[in-house]
Amino acid sequence: MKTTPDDPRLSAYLFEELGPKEKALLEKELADNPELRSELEELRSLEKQLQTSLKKEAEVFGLSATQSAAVARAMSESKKRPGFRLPLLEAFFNRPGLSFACAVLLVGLCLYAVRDMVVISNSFLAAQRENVVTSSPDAVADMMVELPVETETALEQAGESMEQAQPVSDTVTGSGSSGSVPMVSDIPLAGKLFASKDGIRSDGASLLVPPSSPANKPSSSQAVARGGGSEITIVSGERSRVRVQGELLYPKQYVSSQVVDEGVYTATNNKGAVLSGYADAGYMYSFMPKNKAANEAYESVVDNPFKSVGEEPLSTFSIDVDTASYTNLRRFLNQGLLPPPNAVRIEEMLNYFSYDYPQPVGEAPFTVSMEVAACPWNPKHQLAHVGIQGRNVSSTKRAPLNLVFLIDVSGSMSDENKLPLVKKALQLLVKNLNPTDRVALVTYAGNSRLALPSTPATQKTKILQALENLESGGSTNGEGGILRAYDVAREHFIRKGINRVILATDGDFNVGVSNREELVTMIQKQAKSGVYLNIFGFGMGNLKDATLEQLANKGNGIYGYIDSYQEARKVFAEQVNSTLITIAKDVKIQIEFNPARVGAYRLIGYENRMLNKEDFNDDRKDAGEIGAGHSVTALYELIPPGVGLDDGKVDPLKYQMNPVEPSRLTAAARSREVMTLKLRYKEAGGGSSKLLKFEALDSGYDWMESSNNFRFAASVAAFGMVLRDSPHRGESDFPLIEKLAQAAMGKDPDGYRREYLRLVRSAAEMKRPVGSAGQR
Amino acid sequence: MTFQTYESRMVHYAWTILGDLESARDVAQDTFLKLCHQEPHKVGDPPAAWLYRVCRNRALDLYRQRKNRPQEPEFLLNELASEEADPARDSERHEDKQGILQAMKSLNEKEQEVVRLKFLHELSYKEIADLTGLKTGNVGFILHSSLKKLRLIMQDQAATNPSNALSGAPRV
Repeated sequence: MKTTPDDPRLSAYLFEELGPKEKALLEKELADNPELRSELEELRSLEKQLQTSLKKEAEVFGLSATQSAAVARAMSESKKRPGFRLPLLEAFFNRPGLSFACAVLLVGLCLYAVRDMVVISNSFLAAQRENVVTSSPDAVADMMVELPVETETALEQAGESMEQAQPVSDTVTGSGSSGSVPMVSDIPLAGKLFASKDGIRSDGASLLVPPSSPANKPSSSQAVARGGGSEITIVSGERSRVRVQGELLYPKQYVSSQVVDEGVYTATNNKGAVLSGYADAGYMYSFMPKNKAANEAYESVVDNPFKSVGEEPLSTFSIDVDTASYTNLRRFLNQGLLPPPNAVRIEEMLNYFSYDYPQPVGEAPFTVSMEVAACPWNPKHQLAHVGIQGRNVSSTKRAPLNLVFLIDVSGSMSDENKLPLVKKALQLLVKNLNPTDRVALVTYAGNSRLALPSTPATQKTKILQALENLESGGSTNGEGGILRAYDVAREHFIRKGINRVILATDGDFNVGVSNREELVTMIQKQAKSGVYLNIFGFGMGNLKDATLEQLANKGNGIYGYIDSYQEARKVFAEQVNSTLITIAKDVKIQIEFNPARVGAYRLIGYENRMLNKEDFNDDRKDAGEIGAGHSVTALYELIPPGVGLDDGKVDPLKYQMNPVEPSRLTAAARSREVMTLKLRYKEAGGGSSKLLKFEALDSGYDWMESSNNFRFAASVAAFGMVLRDSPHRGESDFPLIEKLAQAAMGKDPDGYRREYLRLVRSAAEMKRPVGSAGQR
Repeated sequence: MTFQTYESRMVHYAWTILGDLESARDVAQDTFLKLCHQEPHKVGDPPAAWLYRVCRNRALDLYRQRKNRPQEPEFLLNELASEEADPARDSERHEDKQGILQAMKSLNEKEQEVVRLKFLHELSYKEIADLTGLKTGNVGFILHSSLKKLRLIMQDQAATNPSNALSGAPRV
């Protein structure tokens, strides 16, 4: 029988599907027939290509993080069934990347027995897949885990099984470190995880250190991670006190950690992909190269410098009522981490808190209070405190609202602190609506969708249900969403009402570079015609801080960061009016300093809100909005004339008297006035700007004699400068920050100041030098 | 086979039937969860055949349900289509320089499935036959003719468009 190249038996032969007889026959023919042989080779090459391409295509597929976690949980549940052996479990624990997980599991179980410890767990389906995308050299973070003396026996016991699970040359060895209780389960974010003579290594990015048990206080578990030549030691002590020692020298990386309870938890890898899985209680540390595309992005902030009053007697800035930076840094600190310096914007910290400023009584929508006293962190300097209080508006008197919620429902929003929190937050808001208000719901992922057409608030149940029904999944196309949201807002525009788009996102707002400017222009245009934009960031991992702040700023709205349900309550329930009602817009401040009293000045914070002096009287120039009940706080550090600038960076002027010659001063300069504050604002309805003027007198007080407002704001500013490592921090340190705040707690009805004090203390713990670890 | 491989293959397999990632993931998840509650003797070891069968049946059920629901809002379909395109587009961009995946699209559904089951999922003729309900001989025939078709298409591609590598340029 003659076989032609078209004969299916040829491929059957290739795939070893032929019976022995047929195979022998075909082989004979192949030997005699070169045409058939070359056909076979072609098929073989095609087979290889198909295998490679199809596998490449398939390997990027996988379950979502939440699904992976659910499956992992089910798998470990099923393992507990007596006598149950699931075929897939073998494969599950024999993943090449995770061969070690099995080993650690054994180690862990032994330790559990020996020292009554909580240990490990693992099960990371999603994690494995990520090695597809994270193999760049700078993503590599080797991890070495020290194991204590006490565990060596356990390790030996486990050794046998471990070797079975690993390549022959790889074994885990414990290097003793007495007193430490290290237990480590590693969840590789990038996949490959293996044990070697040096310890446990991972080219991934995350490490789980479970808490030491109460019985073992004050010992701590310890893990050392190395990446790119740098090294970081992670010490976790008691549950409440996680500490990251040392610095990750690796320049573009930073570390985040979170305390995890037993259950599902998530981490973000350096591509911004969110991974989750099931683990026992512990601390999880993630190493994220900051320069990677989808990570958190913060615009660099350079502290305002001191300016000589002789050269620049005017300081002009736009107010800012954003608070995102404070909530964001709270998130960091609560996770046992110091925030990146550029994530710290002092004005947003100051404005997070409410102060005891007088409410306006007359026509003006706000009051301005000023106070000058000695500067706590530099005894030779003075500090000027400016407090602006916006009028409260009661909810019943509120103009009708036309709200469009624009909600990011892309895949990355599935975390508990993202979409689920967004739903809760917006449901709070909906519950606070008046019957004349309306709400629409636009979602965006791959495409935008009108999830709920504009609906009157009389149908609250319908709105709440629509929110409840939101589900996440898919990629992000922020641009499409925002256009649609504005369309909906315009269709139902309420004249004399409050028309707002409220964007909730984890920040991954994909806008093409070329379109970004267009988008900003569009947002500005919409703002001019009365539709404002509020932006709320949720969750972590790919927060595009700078973009969001800019967009909200251009959209005449506020930018907030919601890190918890508590914060959602503050923004969407307690202070919902300040969130939604604008009482004045384009609020600008210009301060003229009296050269007889002030030699140089520095505005603390507001770095990206500075205006040129001529912008102050220019009504076309956009500036910040102030909401009902909002307060704005600003601090100036003042250097009296004759006291040199400590930094000596500026030489004295050659052609001009410095300080200003007394004969050139006006009569007013000889008064006790330190400065004059001019404020311009427009009524919420628009029109031309109005001007207010206030003078500040030198109290001559030491800071100890100043008001609670003054001291608390000074504490916050000092905290910000310490976190930013500002060159102007002077004598600011944690004891001073605490002292200032402690004496200025006031009534603190909502506990925000007490919480602040707690954050200061935990930051102090974290900033403590490496040598003094655990000595508290 | 490793678990990870199973995971990505199940999702991928369901995706080739359903054409959207979200439903494919749901189907794969259901499959694994079902496995966890299944008596091991019913599953067999290795569990590949069982997994493929359950995954395929679920995916097809869903597919048929959808077909019988023509009122499926069109925007939703678009949305799904654009989401689902992501992983595939990425892999094309990175890997498919020869355009073999492109060429695959010229095959009919049955051929594509058999080719995938053979080269990606590495099932035997018999396993493919059991799964798809085809006869073993027919599987061999479909495979062989698909390979020949693919080869011709690729030769055409090479002739008309030598720099096929650009075909996967990212969408702006």
